Amino acid sequence: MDGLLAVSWLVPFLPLLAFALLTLFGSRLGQGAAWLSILFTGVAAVLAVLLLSPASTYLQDQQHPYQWGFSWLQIGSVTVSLGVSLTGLNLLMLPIVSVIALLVQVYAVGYMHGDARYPRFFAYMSLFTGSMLALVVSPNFLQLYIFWEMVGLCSYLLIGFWYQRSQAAKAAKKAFIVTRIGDVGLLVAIFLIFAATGSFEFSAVIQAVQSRQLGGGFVTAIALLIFLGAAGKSAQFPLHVWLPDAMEGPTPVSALIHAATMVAAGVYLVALTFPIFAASAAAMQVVAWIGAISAFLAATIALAQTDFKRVIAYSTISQLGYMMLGLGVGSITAGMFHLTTHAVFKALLFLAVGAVIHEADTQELDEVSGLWGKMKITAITFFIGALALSGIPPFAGFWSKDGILAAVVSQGNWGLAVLGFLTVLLTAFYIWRIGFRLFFGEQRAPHGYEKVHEAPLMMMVPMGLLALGAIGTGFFGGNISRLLGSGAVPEAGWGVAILATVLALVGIGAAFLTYLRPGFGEAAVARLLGPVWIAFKRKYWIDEGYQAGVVRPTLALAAGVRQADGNIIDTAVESVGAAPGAIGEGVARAQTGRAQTYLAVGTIAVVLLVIVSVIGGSR
Amino acid sequence: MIDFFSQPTNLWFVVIAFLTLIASLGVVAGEKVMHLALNLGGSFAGVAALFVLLQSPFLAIAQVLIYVGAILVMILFGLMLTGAHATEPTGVETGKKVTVATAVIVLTALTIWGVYGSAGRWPVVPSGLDTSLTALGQALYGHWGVAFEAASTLLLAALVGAIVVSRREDDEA
Amino acid sequence: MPPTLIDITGQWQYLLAEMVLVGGGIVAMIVDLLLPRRNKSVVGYFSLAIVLAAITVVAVQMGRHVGGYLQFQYVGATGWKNTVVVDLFAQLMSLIMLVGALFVLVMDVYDWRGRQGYEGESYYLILFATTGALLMANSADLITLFIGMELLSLPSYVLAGLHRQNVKSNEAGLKYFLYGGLATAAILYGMSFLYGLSGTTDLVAMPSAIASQLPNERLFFDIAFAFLLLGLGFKMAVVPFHMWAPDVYEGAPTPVTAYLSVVSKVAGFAMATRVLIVPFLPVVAESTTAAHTGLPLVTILAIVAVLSMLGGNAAALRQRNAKRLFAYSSIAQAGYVLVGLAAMPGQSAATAGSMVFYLAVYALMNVGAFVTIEWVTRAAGDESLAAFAGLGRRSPWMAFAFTVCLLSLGGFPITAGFWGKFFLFSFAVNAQLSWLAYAGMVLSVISFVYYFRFIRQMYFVRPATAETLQVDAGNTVVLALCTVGVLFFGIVPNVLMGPAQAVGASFLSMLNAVP
Repeated sequence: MDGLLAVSWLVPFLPLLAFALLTLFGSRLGQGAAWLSILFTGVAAVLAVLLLSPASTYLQDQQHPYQWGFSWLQIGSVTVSLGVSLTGLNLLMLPIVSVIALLVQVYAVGYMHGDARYPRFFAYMSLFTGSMLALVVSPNFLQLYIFWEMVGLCSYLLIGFWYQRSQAAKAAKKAFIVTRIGDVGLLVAIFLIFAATGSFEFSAVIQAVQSRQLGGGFVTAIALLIFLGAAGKSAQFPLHVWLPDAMEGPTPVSALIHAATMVAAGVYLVALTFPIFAASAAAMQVVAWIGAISAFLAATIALAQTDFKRVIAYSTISQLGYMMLGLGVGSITAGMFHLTTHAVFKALLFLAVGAVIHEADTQELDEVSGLWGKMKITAITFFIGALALSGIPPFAGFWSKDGILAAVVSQGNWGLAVLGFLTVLLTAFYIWRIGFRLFFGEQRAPHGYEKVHEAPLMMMVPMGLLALGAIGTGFFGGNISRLLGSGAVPEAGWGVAILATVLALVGIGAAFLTYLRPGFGEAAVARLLGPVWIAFKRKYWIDEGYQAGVVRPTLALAAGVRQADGNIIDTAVESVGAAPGAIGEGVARAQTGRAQTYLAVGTIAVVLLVIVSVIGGSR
Repeated sequence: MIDFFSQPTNLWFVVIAFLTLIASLGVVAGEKVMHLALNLGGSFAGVAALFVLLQSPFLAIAQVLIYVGAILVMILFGLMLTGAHATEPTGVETGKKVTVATAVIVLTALTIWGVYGSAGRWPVVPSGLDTSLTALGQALYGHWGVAFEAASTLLLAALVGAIVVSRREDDEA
Repeated sequence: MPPTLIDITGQWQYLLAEMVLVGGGIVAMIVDLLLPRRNKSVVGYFSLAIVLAAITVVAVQMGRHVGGYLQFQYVGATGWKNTVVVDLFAQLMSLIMLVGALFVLVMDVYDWRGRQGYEGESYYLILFATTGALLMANSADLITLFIGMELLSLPSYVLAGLHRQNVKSNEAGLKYFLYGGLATAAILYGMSFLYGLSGTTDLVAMPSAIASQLPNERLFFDIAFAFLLLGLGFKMAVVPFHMWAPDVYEGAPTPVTAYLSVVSKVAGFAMATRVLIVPFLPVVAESTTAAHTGLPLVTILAIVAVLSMLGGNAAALRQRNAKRLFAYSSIAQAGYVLVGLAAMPGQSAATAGSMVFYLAVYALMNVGAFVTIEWVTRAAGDESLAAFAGLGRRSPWMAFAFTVCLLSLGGFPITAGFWGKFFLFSFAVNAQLSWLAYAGMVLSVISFVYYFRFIRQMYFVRPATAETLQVDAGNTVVLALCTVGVLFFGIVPNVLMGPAQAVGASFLSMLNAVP
């Protein structure tokens, strides 16, 4: 038993080792690269599942998590260790990450078949899996932050994997920069915590919060900064813009990184540092509202998109919003339970549409439809995923979403509750819209309908297993709440469950009427909603807003500063002295004239520095 | 103030420093190259006179010998041989001049303020240092021996640099 | 009786590394005169051996814990005068600069291939300049320090303009010289203020003298700082004393650019530590934390740090020329180090270590980047970013190495640059300069945008030519060492941070030393 615990470090280490091996020998292995990666991830997954029982026993017996690590660096008197901490939360994340990584890698054997950089793909996948696992076992903020960045890098590499498409390269960069903005928040929070408590260890920090050593506005600030990092990673409004673009990456990447694991890291982080949030009512409100707004906004945008992979991306944002909402109203169990079921059914949905993309070679709803005749198994797995997502009992999503809605209702915040329930309706509508349009209606595909057939077996097996999961994981709510030790899955009586189910059924029915009944179609809906539909379709112009509000001003500043070493300072130096004749001469200025300017700027700077420090020093 | 000027040395210092500054300004602001060179000579001589005031006759003599006797004469020779007596246009706009002049004046004012504000508190102690040649030699080869050796390396590097900068390469033309 | 040179022979070993460099430089000069034009690379290899010997000297002395003062007694005065100090700070900084010079020499030997000109001169001028750089790190006296700075500067001016056929190189040399002249004058003037206040040029005796004067002479100190900073800011290339850097970096031969951005900059920081920080540590030690953050030098340094991080990062965003972009990148990097310099009065011991750590890492990653820039731009005959197109396929290992260096410059985890910034910023937080640390973190995000331009070109853009880039053995080794170093210190930062943390303690021992 304890022997198993002692090798728990192998779980993140094995995939990282696979990455190292693949980097060095990948090109020689060819197709074998995939199997090496799958083997290492597989062992890690088995280990992660086997660890569950002894580690949770240890947790109960010892009243503290199993810890393993070695001293990594010494800063003054503070020691930072690199290692493994097996808390309930971490124990839950380990199997989710490793098992889904394993299934997605198996799927990718078929999906990526024949790609020129096949070994490279699996090397990156291993690196991601290892980093993500190392992230979730972190005993301290520093290790978490390092692997937090590493998974971001993997995301960058994998979104841009098909760099021949210029869109892919752009999307990769956008994802990296936008999430980094959030990451700065997290880093600042870590520094604040370190400055206040002198420690990076989670346990020490949480103890400091619970013993009221930290409190008031300071805790709110830390919580909000942590949430900034979480919102960037989990694509929450207003930092959600990178996730839809990230769909330029290969579909297995979308399933693993941008649906099941990495984007859930933000939710995991909030759950991990929950005591910090719990100490600040304001921070909890922010988490709940941002979650609810993200859930609702993303669901509305998803209604009008014609790129079906992007619809599922918006769906991911929306569902992550639910998880944040659950945490924001105080239930770790509800949030993490939904994280678990969502990881399974969203991965399934991605793999199913991936099969369609693989066969039909398009992501546009307008180009492909009526696939039921050709891809029955894919269609069935997709609909199982759709049922789970819409929250129809007894599929997985029903149980976990019900938990969140129950928590919201029992907290009694009606604004949040309305958004939550409305989103249920919208969710059912947009996902069944995809389902109905893809698999029913006119039989067509861009390269000829006849050429389409079921995906290879290697892709079907993981889809089948995930479909079973999408039916079954909903029944593990009790186990999860016991593992986390954070209270039972919230319940609020039959009313919530029935209302949610009815709303979901209404959504499905509306989608059925709109898309499968002749004479009534999307055009009619668009006419009915008018400008609102256009706002959905244009994603509320948020991208355009960033372009005008952030990107252009930054570039303008850059241009300004660049000019400064050219002419602007020259001109400024002149215009201070108000010389009318200078403007004409400015154009014909000799290079050596600039050197004089440089000296002048240095001298003026000295004067200003003296003045500033005299003023500053005389306070 | 009156105390300050009552000592003849201080009075001399002000007069000589003022003349040196005037000559230095002439070097910076003058138009004709030959005038610049002559002003430079004046500035060197002024510094030599300051050394005399500081009771360092040897440094004064060295200053005159090296700077006036060697460097200035070298410059004058160079000017005569190359015939560079044309008036150089300064090419600096009035606006820039005004700005920089303002900055310099403010800086000077600040410096004077700083020095004058503290002048009374600094104890004036006779240095008691031996300014004889022997003492100078021992300081150079003792306390500042390393600096002295480094300076000789510096001169060597400067020599090489001068050659590199001025020599016309055969394959360059 | 004052000691004669013979009496203090035992102490001369403190200057052994400098003597090796100067002696080697002179021999190289003579050898250069005797050699025919096409065999000048021999001088380069000889110079490489000399720098290696100097590295060995410093390393062995560190291993044997050699350290102390080179002292003289003044005629007619009592007490000893310090000239040179050999402490851990000097030794580590010397090692960084020597390794930087070694790498630059390797680059230089290649750079002269297929080129005519002052090849031999370039090698021994680097040796002389490096001597000056070392003196800047281990002087215990203002005069020695100043001569050291000049010994670094003069050869640098010449080196920048060494490609005589290239107009830009000539212009670079001239501009560097002009700005350097102002900087020298400013430093000398600032030093005269320090001398006026303390009555000594001895840096060891200065602290106690200054401690008694500082409360009364605030304005005077402000002015002295400002002048010293003008000169040192030029050497460190920080805003607003940076304006020469883009022109000079772009125009100078690439190895010289690497030299200026690494050795020269590190020397500037060494000197800044010696004259701006260490003399004022005792003053700080007596005052409370809140009081010393208001110290003029802390205020001034913090302002300059923010300006550098902001200006350098923002201006680099719009650059298309790789060398010019790296000029701005180096300005921003200097801004990060200034954060450490500003935090030092508050947190001397640990912060000094973090600065040394960052400079060591900076030397590695910047040299690595410049090696790549040199090879890629020369092969393409184009200094724009487009020259890097498709490098990931043309030369995968080089692209990987460059990527590691870029990520490290941006401060990405698992690279040493992350830890460098981490240490700098965390000590700034400890020194009550949190706002400065957070400004640094936020501004460093911008840097990823332009560093990723290179990565995008290398991996996401089709190459113009398919031919692979062949790199010679020497540069391959340099690039590999830089990359491995960046990764190694990124994974086990304690190997470097451990010794570096002892640096601050060596300052304190210097302060306690009897003058």
